[in-house]
Amino acid sequence: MNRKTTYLSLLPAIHISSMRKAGKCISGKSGIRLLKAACLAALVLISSGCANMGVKPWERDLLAKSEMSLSYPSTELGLDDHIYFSKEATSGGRSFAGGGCGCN
Amino acid sequence: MQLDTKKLATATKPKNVASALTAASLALLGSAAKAEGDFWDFSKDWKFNTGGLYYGEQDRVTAVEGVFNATREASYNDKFSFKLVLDSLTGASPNGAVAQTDIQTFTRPSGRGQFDVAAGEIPLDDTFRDTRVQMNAQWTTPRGEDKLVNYGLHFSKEYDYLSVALNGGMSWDFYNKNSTLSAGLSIAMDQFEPEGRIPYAFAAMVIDEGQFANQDAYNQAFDATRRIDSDDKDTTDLLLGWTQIINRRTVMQFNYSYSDVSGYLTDPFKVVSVVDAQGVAQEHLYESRPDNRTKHSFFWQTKYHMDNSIADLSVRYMTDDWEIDSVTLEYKHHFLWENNSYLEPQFRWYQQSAADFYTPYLIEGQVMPEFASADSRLGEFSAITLGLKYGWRTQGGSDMALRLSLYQQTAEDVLSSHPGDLASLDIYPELTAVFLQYTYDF
Repeated sequence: MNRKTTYLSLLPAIHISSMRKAGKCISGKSGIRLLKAACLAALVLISSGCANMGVKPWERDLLAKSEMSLSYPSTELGLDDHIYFSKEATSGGRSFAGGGCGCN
Repeated sequence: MQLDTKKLATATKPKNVASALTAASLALLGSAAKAEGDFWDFSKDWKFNTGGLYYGEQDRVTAVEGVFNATREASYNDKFSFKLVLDSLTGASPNGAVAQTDIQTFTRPSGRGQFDVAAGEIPLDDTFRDTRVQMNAQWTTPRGEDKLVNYGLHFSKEYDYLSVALNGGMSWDFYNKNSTLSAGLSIAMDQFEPEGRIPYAFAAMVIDEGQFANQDAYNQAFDATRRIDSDDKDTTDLLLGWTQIINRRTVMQFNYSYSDVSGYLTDPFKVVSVVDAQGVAQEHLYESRPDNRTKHSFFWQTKYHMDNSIADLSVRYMTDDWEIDSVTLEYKHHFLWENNSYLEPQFRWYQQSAADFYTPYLIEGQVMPEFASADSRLGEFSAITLGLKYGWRTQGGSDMALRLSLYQQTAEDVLSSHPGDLASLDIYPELTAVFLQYTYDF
């Protein structure tokens, strides 16, 4: 049975099972230390890069619109989450995935 | 964030530039003072978001859902919200059994009564109906200049299911509020007490075909397949997020979420058919799933404000230890019109691989797997949603929107061949649904 579909090959190498297999080669605490160091380095790089982005307070005219809020429109997003939670094997991502009802 | 329009109007005729800039900056930052008053005075600082949804599947489930959300912003970033959701479901749902060339008879989950399925049809249990009430309370409050904390409660109750959850989180603003790091934790406890009680894993469905001497003999056989206790599951969700304002027109978010679910994760209403070498069903076994599932999810969203429209793109990748991997791509384009109305086409594409224990049926004589489920939601499929939304603002400042969407799920065959008559039958259920949604914010 070929369980994996072709789209996975298009994704970057972040597949968790592959990471687990790679972790076995490094083994134990040294692997965890390496992962922590990588995460820390990524965080530093991202945060230092982000320091040069953004706007001044008086440049927020467009961003202040409710339509530009990432959780807009909240009622619709909540209704969609409930539909897809009951029909698919994936939930959350934008917010918490867990529990809620017996529909899945 | 509500801008104080009177203050902005005053600021258009300033006595000096400095005071105008100060007023505008305060308004844009949302620091304008909120009206003082009684917390329960609904004429002040309360905002209401309401909505109704009709969801209908072709020849299957129909659902109606209503949402009422009230938010009180006592001061900037200090707000309390309460949400009430009511929904009702009715209709038929696939019970997991495989289609056959002859008519089939199944026992209802309650054990009381039977239903027949025509030859060539995918077995649907038409007793699926439930009513649910959900309540949420959420409080967000500032801690110092750049931090926000939030706490929440969730309660959901339906006839045979109870869910209670607690959540808490914190967010930190950096770089003049252009970057926000957030972290949240949610713990949910669900209890399941299904109609007809929980069947034992892989117990064969008892079907009365005249082999029982009387009703007591049937009841005894049915009860022997059932546990006497209820069961529960616990869910722990961890969410880490980074929100970044890129420039005056662009905002971006990246989330990582970890979810651990343990306990009873099986669907007590689903069965797996056992077929012989000719593909003829010999019996139907109640499914069995692992009692733990760990999921990792990566989510990225960007909104870009063009001159007269807003592009909203999001991508989600999820992987779990059931070997399900999924990708979700969603795009909405919000066309702003001059008369305070908008049109928004929506597109969503979803694809998932199957759980490692998913199978459309089991074959007689082969070694029984540790777990098995024929629930099509754990199978391999893709889904597309196409939607169109129209919204407008009333003269009184309320927002209304109407949305119509079409959802189509298409299954992929996870087996290379099928025995006997199954090769010529359509054994994977397809799903087509329509959503009609109305929202009213005031």
